[in-house]
Amino acid sequence: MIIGFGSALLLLAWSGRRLAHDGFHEKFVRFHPLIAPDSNYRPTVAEMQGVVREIARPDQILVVIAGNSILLGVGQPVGSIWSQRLQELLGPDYAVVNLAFRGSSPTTGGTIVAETLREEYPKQILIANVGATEAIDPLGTGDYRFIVYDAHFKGLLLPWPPRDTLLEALPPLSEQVLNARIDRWIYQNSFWNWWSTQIGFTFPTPMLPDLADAFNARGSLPDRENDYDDFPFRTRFAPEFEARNMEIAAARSSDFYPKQVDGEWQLDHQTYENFLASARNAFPDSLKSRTLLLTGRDAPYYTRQLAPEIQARDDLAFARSVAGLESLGFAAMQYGKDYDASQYGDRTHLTKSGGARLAADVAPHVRELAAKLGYIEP
Amino acid sequence: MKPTTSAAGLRSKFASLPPGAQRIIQHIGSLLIGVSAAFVLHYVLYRIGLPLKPFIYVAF
Repeated sequence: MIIGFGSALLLLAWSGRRLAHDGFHEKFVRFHPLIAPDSNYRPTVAEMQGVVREIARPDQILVVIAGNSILLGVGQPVGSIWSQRLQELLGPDYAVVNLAFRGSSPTTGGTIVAETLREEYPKQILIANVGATEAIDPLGTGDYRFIVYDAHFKGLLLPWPPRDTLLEALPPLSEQVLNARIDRWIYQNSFWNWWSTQIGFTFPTPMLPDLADAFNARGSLPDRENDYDDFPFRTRFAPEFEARNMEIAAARSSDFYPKQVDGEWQLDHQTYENFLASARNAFPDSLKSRTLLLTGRDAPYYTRQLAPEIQARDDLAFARSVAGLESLGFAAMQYGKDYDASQYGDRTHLTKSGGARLAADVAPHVRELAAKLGYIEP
Repeated sequence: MKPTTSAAGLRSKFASLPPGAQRIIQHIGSLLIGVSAAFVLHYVLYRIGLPLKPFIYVAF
């Protein structure tokens, strides 16, 4: 019995590791909700590394997209996702892999995967999005910290004291920590994710309430992302949500510039320094130079209704944010200010044409960064 | 009652086997129980790592 138990466990561990290493997401495009935490599916770092290996050759410049739903391409159906357009624009010397997640943050998801592949893919560029004035947490948002824990307990992360301090303070017996510690040895998460995508999912989840679908192999289920262009403009920018969205848009830059004196916006230096400190601590120093951070404006439909002085304050804050991030060693850019109203699907997400515009705006920055890092001839 | 009779029948058949064959069957049975236990444990460890409720994405 003991021999059977031990050898089976060893075989399962080896299988989980091997299957994830080789990749089991055929024709991967992105982590749509049926292969994401939205439906009780938690991709492992090993599995995401496998995705990268399936798409990118080590001699290509690996462009990993991390961040949230905006960069995931919510509202852009497969075939019209901004990251696919970016791949077309960059050409075959680059391999673009979209590892963004809904509701994620710049320090988890694809960011962690890129860090763990730093030696296997030495020519790499990371793209993530940040709020122009929002502090960045080194461990990311709670729902996606499992990715950081996974990499940390497998010893895949660079030493980085601001992050290490937080990781060392984790409760050792919390479910997520224990799970990551055990997964280090027996790869249960990778194995059962392989099973879930290839054989069948093993339990019902609220996203698939019909039992006929619940147990299907997740890899066989299509990416059913909505197309914003299928919805009339006044549905996407519904009057009942207008007041709330305007409130958010109007406060976008108020953290940096809370007040005016003699008609001039006065920078709150403490808030600004806190923002910079959070960005400095969020990424290991050696990885900052290959990281392009995007800050997105709210939809022009809202921002163009703002008072001229508020629009001017947004200009100041976004420019200040980009300059500050660049001073820390990141590449940074803002997007969205001069986009057409129809290029936004809602206050923050882009339509197909907005995504294409973003790709066109980002591509020159990626090439410039690749030249600066010595990946290509300037 | 039928299952009991059937189980008793199996036991009787097993007892009638040569000792060598009995040992082999016992070993195989034990191995299969071990394999099954590993499979169940592996799955349980995967499941307890998942949150009870999935991540609910709300965009505003």
